[in-house]
Amino acid sequence: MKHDILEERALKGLPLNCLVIDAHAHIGTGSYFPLYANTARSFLECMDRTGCSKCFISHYSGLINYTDLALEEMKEIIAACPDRLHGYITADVAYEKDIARQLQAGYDLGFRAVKIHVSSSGLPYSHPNYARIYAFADEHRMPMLIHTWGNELKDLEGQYEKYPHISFILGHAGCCMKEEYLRHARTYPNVFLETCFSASPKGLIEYFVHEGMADKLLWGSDMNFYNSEHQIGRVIFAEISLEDKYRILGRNAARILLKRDA
Amino acid sequence: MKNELLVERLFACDAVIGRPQVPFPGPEPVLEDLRRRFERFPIERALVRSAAGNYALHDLANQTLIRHLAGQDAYEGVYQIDPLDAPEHLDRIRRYRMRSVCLKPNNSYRPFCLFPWCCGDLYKMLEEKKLPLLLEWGSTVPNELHEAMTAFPGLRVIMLEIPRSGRQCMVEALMRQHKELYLCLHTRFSVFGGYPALCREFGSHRFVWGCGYPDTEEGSAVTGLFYSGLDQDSLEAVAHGNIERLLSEVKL
Repeated sequence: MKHDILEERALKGLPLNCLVIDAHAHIGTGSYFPLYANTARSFLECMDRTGCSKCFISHYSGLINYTDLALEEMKEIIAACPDRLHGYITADVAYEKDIARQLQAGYDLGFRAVKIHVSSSGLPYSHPNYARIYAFADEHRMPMLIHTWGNELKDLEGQYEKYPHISFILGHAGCCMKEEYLRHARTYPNVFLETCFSASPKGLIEYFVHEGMADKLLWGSDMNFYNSEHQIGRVIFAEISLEDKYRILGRNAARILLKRDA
Repeated sequence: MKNELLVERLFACDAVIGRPQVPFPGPEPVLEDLRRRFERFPIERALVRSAAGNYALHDLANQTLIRHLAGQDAYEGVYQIDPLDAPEHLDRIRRYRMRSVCLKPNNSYRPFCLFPWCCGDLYKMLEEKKLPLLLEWGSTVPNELHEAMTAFPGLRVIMLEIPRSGRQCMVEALMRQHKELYLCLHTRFSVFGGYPALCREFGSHRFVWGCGYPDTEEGSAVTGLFYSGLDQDSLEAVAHGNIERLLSEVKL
């Protein structure tokens, strides 16, 4: 059985030797269930094992109405290794008076991407409060990772052309309604797809690649909500070309999240 | 770069073969497809259950399983058993040369419970023969399992599809109280830091491995184990050693 270089390294338990960027991770106080490990150090140790160079993280509290707490903790978490750990800006979208201040505070900490999560407030992504967040991200030409689980896509579609300077990254792409995720990414140049899905269904990565989305897929793990060690295997062993694996694992994220060529 | 693979071999404990009730969105999960997918990795052996058992009784499950696995011995069938008529089932298990069983208490036409008052005769037989019993967490009532394993402390249970939302207090409590409960670390058990923490707490001899064929990407289960940070002895135990030991101790 012939394996490519990434498969070979994984089968030997060796870290990957290509650019790997995790576009979707969480940390800190406020998880929905008790975790085995929840520190910057545990993240870095895991990243060393898999060969992941960089990780983009949103704080749990920042997704459930306590961004001020999130900002305090993220300052220390990112300081543990600012070259490898990057923060997502969040804001308490249900509390309009706090949004602008919190967005600016995240920006002042050096975060250059935004994360929104519909479950935090129950407000749909079409709610006027989200417009403040979109406007901020658009003004600063930031990428935006968005928690989605199918139903939110209809509320998002109206935003893509209104905010052309945002790279909208649809999280958990293909968890359901995969054709709809495909349609969004295919139709709009500023829409991208992020892979994390703990169920790891066979064939989903291949589906998007075979439909021409290799340049629009970003690998993400949902660490530490779930585990990056499993999620990375979905790309390493997907039945796609080595070049497409490189794109998904890191090159696309470098272009979109770091705004540089890999 | 090291030339050898990280472990000697992998033994998957949770494969399912055959026609599901709703056709699988991909190649039909039959022996040829299972072999093709497993050969991409060092998955040399597997315990395999019948897809028909998810929607039909044990007779169809076992008959189709035997047909699907005929002509090879790398992939071993898991006999689907029923609380009724334990001695007759034992005859068939011997005849089919299977060394593990599974139960489906959530059969929609005739559900049953796992309490000892319902399945006690079966548990007695399984305990005597040291036949591992494979159960799925989603169709297991924890309290029923607790009562069963309390009444039959030698009953060996391998729990599949354990939930992946972080630390599960019921799972940990069951593991503490029942030394013959084993957990299958599988594709969807994607719990950050979970493998080393659980092995530290309960010992690596309490875990087996699975890859969710046909539903999930087996590569995900492989990297979930290989990148977990477990020491080499624990990796080998989980990857194949524990299940091989359990099967070798079956007294048919």
